Amino acid sequence: MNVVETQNLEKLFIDAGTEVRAVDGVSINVEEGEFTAIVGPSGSGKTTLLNMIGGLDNPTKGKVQVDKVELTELSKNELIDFRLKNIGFVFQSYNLIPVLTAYENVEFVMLLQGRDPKERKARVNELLVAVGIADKAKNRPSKLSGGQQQRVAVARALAPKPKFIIADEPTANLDSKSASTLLDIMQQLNEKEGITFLFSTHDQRVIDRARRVVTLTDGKITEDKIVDV
Amino acid sequence: MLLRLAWRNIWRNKRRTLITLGMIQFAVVLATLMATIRDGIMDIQVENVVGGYQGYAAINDTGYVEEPSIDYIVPYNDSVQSFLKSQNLIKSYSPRIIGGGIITRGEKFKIGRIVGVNPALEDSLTHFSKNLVKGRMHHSIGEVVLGLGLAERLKADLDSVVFITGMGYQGNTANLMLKVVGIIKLSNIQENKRLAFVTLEEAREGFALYEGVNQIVLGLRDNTKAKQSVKKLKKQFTDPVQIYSWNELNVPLYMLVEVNDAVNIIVSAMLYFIISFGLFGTILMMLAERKREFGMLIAIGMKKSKLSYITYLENTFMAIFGTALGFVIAIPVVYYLNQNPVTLTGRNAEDIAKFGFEPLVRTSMNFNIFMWQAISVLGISLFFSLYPILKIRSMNENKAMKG
Ligand SMILES: Nc1ncnc2c1ncn2[C@@H]1O[C@H](COP(=O)(O)OP(=O)(O)OP(=O)(O)O)[C@@H](O)[C@H]1O
Ligand SMILES: [Mg+2]
Repeated sequence: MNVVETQNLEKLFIDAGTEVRAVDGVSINVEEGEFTAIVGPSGSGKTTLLNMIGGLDNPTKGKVQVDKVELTELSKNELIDFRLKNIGFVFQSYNLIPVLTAYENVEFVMLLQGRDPKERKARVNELLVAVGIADKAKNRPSKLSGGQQQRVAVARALAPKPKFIIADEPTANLDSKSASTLLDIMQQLNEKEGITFLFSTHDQRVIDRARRVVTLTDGKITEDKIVDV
Repeated sequence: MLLRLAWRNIWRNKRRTLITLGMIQFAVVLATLMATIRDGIMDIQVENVVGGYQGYAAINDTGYVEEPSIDYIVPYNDSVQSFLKSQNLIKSYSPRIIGGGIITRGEKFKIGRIVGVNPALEDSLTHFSKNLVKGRMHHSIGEVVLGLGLAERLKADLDSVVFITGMGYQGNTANLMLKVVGIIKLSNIQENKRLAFVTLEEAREGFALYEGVNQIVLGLRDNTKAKQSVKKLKKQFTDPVQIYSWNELNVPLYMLVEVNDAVNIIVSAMLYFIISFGLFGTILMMLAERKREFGMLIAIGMKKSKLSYITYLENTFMAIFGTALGFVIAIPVVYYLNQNPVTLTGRNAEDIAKFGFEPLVRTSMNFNIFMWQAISVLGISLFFSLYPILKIRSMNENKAMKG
């Protein structure tokens, strides 16, 4: 089953009078359980594409369906609610709420969803162990390393078991060891829980971990290959 | 959860929060102190002038209010007296005959006012005898009690003899020869310098006013409600004899009180304007600092209304807490200065005395002042707390996350 389907997705930016077609007719399907990397040089439209799929930005043209729901037909507030219930996000930085502990950050989205306390507690503890932060559950983000912060962000995105997780350059600010640990964790959770991951990256070592690699060039898909493991 | 988040956000930048709280506190203390001191000074004035001699209410001819001449009289007979006694709002009353004249002793003279009163009735109203500096109250013909300032001017002492030449009722001339039996210190500086008290009978004879009096001063059940009480009583009178409250009898003083209230509002408004800037500055800093975080929160699915609610809680809490901290300091100080008024000395005191004010600083414990300060601070902060809400409403989570 396809979690994401796009048709001729297009995004046009008008920047100081000049038009930039950041995403130019992208049609892509993502199936449940995929672990897919969007790659391409800087400015090729990776962020713009992921934002449209994640309901963070409106396409200029084309269609995006997430779990059979057409995002372009939702209002701004409906989109916020849709994201809360269906999509997990890991950003490059500024992922966490600085005044909440690691534990509370992981719990946060579940709280917003109004999940029951017992369920939250079990899930948060399980994930903190899975991402290797259990001993730092009470630390605030400022007392965590960059890699640890990103692991908490992954746990936060996974906590409510969303339809899929979007991660835009999750390792960009990390050294290679932390990056590789983060990828290990993402991969394990993808296999164990079957949650779909869609992430963008520049980093060849990260690309090597993906099972499907979609290459964007100037807003167009120029290559889409399944990697045999 | 939202509460916990708001609470922690308040303390995420301790120094800024403390500075903001301090600023609100300082403004509340300053505004409250200034308002209560100004109000207190006016209270003293009103007490001295109105509570001392003028009275909180009086019955007289309408013409007398404009021009206090001895020719304007009101009846004072048995039926008037039983009417006054029958009124629940009126506690006590004292009839007065008031004439102007020159008071002479030897080479010294002074233009003054000769007030004919029944000492017992007058005492029940104004408690004059308490303010005697020397001697006793007058009780028979030929006796006079002088205001201390007047006595000093005339260099008069007990047993001195003074002469009064004045204008009596309807053009009669008045000539009186009186012996000083008492000297009284009147709280109102002006009255202290010009009043001389004689018996009602003496004034009647001397000023040839054989019927009625110029004024019946009233003591009310509740002087603080003088205006309302008089309003109720007015229906029972027919012009030209009318009942007046102190603010109608002493328009300049009443205007001074009103102007003072207006000045209080302006000064407070200025102070609160300063707080507003401080608070707004804090809010702007907070917004700039947390823009990315807000973008991220909306991106992961937090409703804008929830986010707005958190910022609203934060700002409201700061305002309430700052105001409370202000009162923690202001109320004891105001209370202390209310119980222990400070008498000013030196040049300032002289300047103040020149305006006829008593150089005494005593704060007013008027609950309304505190209430208005609190309402203002809260109003301002609630108003400024709307700004982040507007910002969040129009926020684009993508742009916000880019910083
Ligand atoms: N808000 C915007 N306004 C105008 N142009 C934009 C905007 N956002 C992106 N672009 C342009 O769209 C193109 C694609 O940008 P995008 O951020 O999607 O690239 P990217 O592949 O994510 O690059 P990077 O690897 O550097 O993150 C770029 O040319 C960029 O300048
Ligand atoms: Mg990008």
